[in-house]
Amino acid sequence: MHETVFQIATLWLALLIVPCGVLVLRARTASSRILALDTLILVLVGILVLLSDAEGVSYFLDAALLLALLGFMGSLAAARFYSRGKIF
Amino acid sequence: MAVAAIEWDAFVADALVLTGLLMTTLGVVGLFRMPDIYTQLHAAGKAVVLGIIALLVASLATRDADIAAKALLIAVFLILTTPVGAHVIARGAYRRGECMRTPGAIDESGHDLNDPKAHTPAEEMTAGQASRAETEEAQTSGADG
Repeated sequence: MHETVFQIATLWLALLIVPCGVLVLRARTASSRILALDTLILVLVGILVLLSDAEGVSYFLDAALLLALLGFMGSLAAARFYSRGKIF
Repeated sequence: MAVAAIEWDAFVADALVLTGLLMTTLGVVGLFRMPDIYTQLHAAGKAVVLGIIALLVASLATRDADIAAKALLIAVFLILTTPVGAHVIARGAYRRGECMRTPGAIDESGHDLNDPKAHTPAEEMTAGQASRAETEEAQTSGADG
């Protein structure tokens, strides 16, 4: 039961990457694409958390933390570039 | 009793995982359904992040100190950074003049962003409008920091 739920959850989150990727490529405005990329990175963090649970090791969470950090900085830089044409 | 306690743990973890899945899925559906960026931010900024935090809380059921500490770190980081990212994206969209397509939306800032017909989309912004937005940004940057 426990393993089945985690497998289904990992598969479901992996499938959720697809609509996020479609939005990144096809959204109407650039800000929507930035937001879709942010959401895609959050889904990847969720997959890494589930993998860490299933394997019982904490190494995946290092990658998840780094991914969340880089995703935040990336969306921040992209949004600032979108807003004023330069980052700093 | 010990066996029953372990099964109860697993049940709570499974329920949290399924809740997180449901909220994340609803957030992604909201990204598709919402008409403009200002309402899409509601779906992505709240539902998806809370779903991921539910997954992180579910990982506490592994009773591993390393996993628990790192999951708590990621949860705190997400709670701190997601509103900042949503605010920056919304401010960028606002300064580029993206209109509010939601029915009944009211733009109280006086920039007339609430009528799609009366406002050009951000991609079709001419150079003059862009430079005007730049000067407006320079004027207002002191006010809202």
